[in-house]
Amino acid sequence: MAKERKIGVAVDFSRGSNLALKWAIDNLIDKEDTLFFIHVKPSQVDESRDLLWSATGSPLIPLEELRDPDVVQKYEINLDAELLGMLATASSQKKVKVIAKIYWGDARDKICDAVAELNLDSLVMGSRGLGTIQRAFLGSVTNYVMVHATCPVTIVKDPCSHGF
Amino acid sequence: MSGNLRCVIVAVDGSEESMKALRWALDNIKLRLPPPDAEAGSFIILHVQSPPSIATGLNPGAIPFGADLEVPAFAAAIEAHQRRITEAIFDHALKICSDKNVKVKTEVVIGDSKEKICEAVENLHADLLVMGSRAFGPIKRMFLGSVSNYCANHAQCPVMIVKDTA
Repeated sequence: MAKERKIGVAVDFSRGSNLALKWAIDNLIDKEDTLFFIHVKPSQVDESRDLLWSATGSPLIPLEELRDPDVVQKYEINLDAELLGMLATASSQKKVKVIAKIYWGDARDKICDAVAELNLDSLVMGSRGLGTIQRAFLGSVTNYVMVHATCPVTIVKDPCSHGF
Repeated sequence: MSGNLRCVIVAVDGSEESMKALRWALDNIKLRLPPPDAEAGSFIILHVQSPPSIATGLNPGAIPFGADLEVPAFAAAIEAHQRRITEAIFDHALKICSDKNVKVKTEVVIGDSKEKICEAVENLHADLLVMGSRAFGPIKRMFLGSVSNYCANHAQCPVMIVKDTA
């Protein structure tokens, strides 16, 4: 069994991506792995802070800092209790390092950049995000990342929204 | 450390990409270890054979009268050929598995590969489908192969696509 792998999960706080995170924690992550929690925010050109980080994304944020209200405000991410609980469980029970990284820009490109930059061994994502078009089978971001990411990609589907 | 996966299907077609997907799956995916009263997890290597009519169609020049005439001898020859191909593919796959000391089951189905893979996922109640991906066109970087693309869209379980990254 390969050790010390870097597994990324792309999260947009939709139900689908929460399911993907849960799947990755329950089925893929093993101890000594690092779980990268990747979130892409739409770019806001007028914020100087975002300009600073628009190229490379935020610095790596360890799990402990995600609970810190200053950090939450600085990056404008609000992890709900369920998500934080899942990450805390992964960290304590499965003995994995949990690190978050925020990017600004187009989710398609940034997730693929993250795979290359963080040298991920694998990426897990949901099949649909927050988009309103429910007719397509796979969301546009998932579809793009599936084709272009340079590591194995696992697509986790939400049984309810796919009508299984 | 055990995982939760009970049934993992790895779809192979004889391409090096699918064998790479198999190797990655065996190295990285943890199956469920048997608790006292239930089954352990298993890998199932699935190969979908093209139906004889398609196999004939692919090689019309070599067969006198083409596909228009029903000749039992030719049908038998084609079926035998298909079986040899499947055996060769499974031999290669099983060698990879035994190198890694993993016991797997094999399964062969005949039909259209993308549909049959998705059917197998349903019938076998798979928890995960692993497949390689390749595109036959000149623009390989732009698309997944049609089978991987179809299965990623339609399979009713999580799908893992392992690409041949150059």
